[in-house]
Amino acid sequence: MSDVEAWANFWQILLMVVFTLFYGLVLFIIPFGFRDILTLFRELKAQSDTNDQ
Amino acid sequence: MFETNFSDIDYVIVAVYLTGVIAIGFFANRFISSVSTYVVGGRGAGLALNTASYIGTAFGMNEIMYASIDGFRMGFSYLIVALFAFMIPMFLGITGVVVRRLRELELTTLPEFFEHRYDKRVRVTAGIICVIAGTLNMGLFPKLGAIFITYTLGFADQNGDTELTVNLIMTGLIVLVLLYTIMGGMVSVIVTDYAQFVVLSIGVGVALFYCLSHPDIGWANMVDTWGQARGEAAFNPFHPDSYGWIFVVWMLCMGIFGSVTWAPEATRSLTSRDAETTQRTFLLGSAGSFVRLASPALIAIAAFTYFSNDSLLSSHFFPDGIAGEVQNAPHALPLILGKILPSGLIGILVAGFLSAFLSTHDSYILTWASIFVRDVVNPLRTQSLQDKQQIRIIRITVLCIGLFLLIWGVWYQLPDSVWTYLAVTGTVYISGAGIAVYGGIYWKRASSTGAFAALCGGLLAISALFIESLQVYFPQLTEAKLAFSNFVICACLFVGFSLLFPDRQDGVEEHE
Repeated sequence: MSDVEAWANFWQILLMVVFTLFYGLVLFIIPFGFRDILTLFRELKAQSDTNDQ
Repeated sequence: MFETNFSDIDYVIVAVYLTGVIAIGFFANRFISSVSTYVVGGRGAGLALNTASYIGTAFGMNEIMYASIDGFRMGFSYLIVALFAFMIPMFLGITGVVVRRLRELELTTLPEFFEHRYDKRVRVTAGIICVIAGTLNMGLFPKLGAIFITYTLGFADQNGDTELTVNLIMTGLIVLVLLYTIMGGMVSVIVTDYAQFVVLSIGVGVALFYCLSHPDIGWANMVDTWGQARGEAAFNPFHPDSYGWIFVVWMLCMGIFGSVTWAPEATRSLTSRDAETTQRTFLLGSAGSFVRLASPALIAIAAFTYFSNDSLLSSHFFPDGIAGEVQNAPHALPLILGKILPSGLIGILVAGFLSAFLSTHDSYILTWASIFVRDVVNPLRTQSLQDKQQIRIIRITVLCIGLFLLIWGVWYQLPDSVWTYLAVTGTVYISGAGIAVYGGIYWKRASSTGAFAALCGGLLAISALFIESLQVYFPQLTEAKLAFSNFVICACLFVGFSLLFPDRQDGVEEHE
């Protein structure tokens, strides 16, 4: 195997592994991130109300 | 030659999406009741949201542009930078090195650490250098965004004067960014980062699929074309005709020190709910850090293959043949997206990138402005500013930075490698500050004078911006050699001055 082929294979495998990890992460973040936004707004509203008082 | 598939339906998609994002900015404004809410989102972001924000902050129009420029010029070798962007946050996330400690200190800005560990002089110096380096660093962002819009929407063909079109679009983008930043602060950044994370991660994945499955492209074609054009240098970053090992080591240093000191990304270690969330954010965000650099580079690598088979575009990009010097690299990614993606999908992607443009600028400008006020203005005053005064001065600073971006963007010409420009301006702050942060946490004998000397030493990296003048006298000198040696110089200054001028004993005990 030439150096070019070896490097091309290395990048191909790396890309496949990390992209798979990433899209697994996307599936986790989409629903749970939305839940976190709702929680954040609730907490900030409570803080804001406390400051007003 | 520059016509694209962008159509009326895409304009509608962009308009609807942007209106939605700006509405979120207005909505988030209701929650701004203190500086901590404005600058670090009230430290209330949970794991999934903080990870989306960590990835989203650095996944925007500018990032895809500079990664694509280097991908188009250097081929697969650029992926080494993405590999470091993957490995280093993963290491920090697993071990908690530095990031955990920073979150536990409950800081609002990173330079606050320097007063906590060293003294006020170091904090103010770090604040000044951070703002200078950061503002210079983002100086090219609006222009990159405007080039993206111009070529994706097909404006380049309709107007004779493309430079004027780019400058007009850039001005419009900066005005939009300023309105958005002043309105919402960090809460709106975090929320829109989430929206752009969803749109861009799916959109870029689909775009990549379209490119790689195109009959004229495909993985095998890409490898063949690049192999014929550049040989091993297109794949091996250590090859002398590619980046070379000094550049690779410099990138490694940038990753190790930049991950914890480069404020816009490092701030995510401050916005999370607790130290555990910070660690997990870095761990989960590592794959995203890779994808945000690798996917645009890969699309640009595909564009090289696609354009090499098109006689008209080939003359635009490769006037000396594909083995010669590449020209007009910034046009490659927007053009291929505009030509290959179907109408509708381009609109979604452009809308996502425009939103990303807003939130990246928002995050960057807000970070530099808040550091200027909290770490330079406030410590120099005898009486601390009230929260409302701080927010007002931050907003005025935001306007000043916007004005600088407009002037710099119009007058400064894009260098061949925007990535190198960004890395050099980043090194100005990261080399000194990174060593002072790591040293401050893990070396008991680190002193304020040592940290001050290291920070000042970082300023030497500015010389790399004038590399062409220096090469007249030193032909072997490169940006990479200068910038890497700057890390070594800062480390020597830090250790040397810490040993020669230790802090008083009571100070050391207090730090322990």
